[in-house]
Amino acid sequence: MKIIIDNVVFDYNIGCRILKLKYETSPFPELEDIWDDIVPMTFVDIAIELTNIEQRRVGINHLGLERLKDEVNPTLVSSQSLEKETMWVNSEGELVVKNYTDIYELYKVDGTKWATGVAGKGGNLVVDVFYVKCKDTSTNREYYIWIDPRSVQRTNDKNDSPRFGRSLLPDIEKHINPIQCIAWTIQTDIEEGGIDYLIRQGDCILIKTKPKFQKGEVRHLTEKEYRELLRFES
Amino acid sequence: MTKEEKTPIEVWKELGIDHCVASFSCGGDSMNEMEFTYHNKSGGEIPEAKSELDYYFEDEIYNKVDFYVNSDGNYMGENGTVHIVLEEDDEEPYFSYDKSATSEWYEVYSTKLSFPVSEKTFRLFLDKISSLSGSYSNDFEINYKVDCIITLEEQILMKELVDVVCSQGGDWEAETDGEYSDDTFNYELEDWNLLSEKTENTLYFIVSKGYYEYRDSDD
Repeated sequence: MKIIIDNVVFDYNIGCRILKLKYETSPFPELEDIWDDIVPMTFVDIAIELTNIEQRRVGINHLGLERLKDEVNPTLVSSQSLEKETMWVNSEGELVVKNYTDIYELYKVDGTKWATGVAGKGGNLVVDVFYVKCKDTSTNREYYIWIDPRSVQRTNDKNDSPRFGRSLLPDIEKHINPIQCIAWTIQTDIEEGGIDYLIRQGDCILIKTKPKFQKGEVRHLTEKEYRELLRFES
Repeated sequence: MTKEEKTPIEVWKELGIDHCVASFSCGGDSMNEMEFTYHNKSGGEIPEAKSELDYYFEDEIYNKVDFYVNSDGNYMGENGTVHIVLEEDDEEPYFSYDKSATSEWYEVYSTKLSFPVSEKTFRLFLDKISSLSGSYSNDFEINYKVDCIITLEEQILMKELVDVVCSQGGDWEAETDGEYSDDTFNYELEDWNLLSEKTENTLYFIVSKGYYEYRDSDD
């Protein structure tokens, strides 16, 4: 027996547990008797048991960000805000200046909350996971974007010694901040110094280059670039 | 005697060539190698002419003849010959080129086939399935209308229907002299709601097959 959810096929047992995430009451008469006994899938279950990416998408979608956040119990590492000014078109079609405060929060999730293994050094090492929380200014929707803390740190610390390689510094979260993290989520092959300004519309970034820009390796934006070059957002 | 010293027409005459046949094939956006053979009046081949004249015709033929190399999924290419003769009736003798070729086309033919089914199969498709399509390999894809439970019995009903569609669809032949391309059998369930003529407990499939067809080529 199979269960179809959002046009994706699940085996019966897993399907019942995903249905429990999607519906408050049994959507099918056949499941009414057992509905209360069905245990909804957790984030860890989805991450470990669902290897099919379509199934995982459906699972995460119905788990929802709030439940995910509750399960992994993230710790707020630090918070920063930026005062921004941008141009919006109002309902009358007029161009207006919009001032607002953009808040960025860096969170840490204990690695053992989302994967199997033990924290710390050793064979089955599970590292902590970090994400930056931000808000889409036009839709007010919140986003949680995974970041690689070591890469964030290396992007912004030009004196960082390559001898550390990709290994994490102790207390890596003390070496990075939320603005560096949100900047890191944007990548470009324009070398530093070659960007005139940035425009962001949702997750689409437009880069206006200076007349004499150089192209190089794909890299992440630095905190300095994000703070100084982001001109318009919506 | 070198090709620099004498014109192609002079070489042609000296070697007693009556006509040249250029065999070609093209398609897939490119020309394949072209082969030139030179013949006397009685049809005998003059092999020594190749080293004297191939260099000339290899370029010149493209100025005089159109070859259609660009395939587009429907038109595949063409192959044939170009008959080259020396025309001497006019004041200035010149080579004339006459292409004779066959072009290859890939055409897809479709038909609608109806399949009477049980009430149970009929309800399964109308209530739960929005589309079903598949190909020669019997793999099929299903899109579901709603969240639902599919029982083992329903899975078997689907498979049985697909087997019948593949069997009857496989037997259907399009009205063409073309050559059936074995791997091009496709079927797709017709949307019941969009059908203008339909019968209860009957499902309709569009069955398609691809054929290679050959036609005389235009010059």
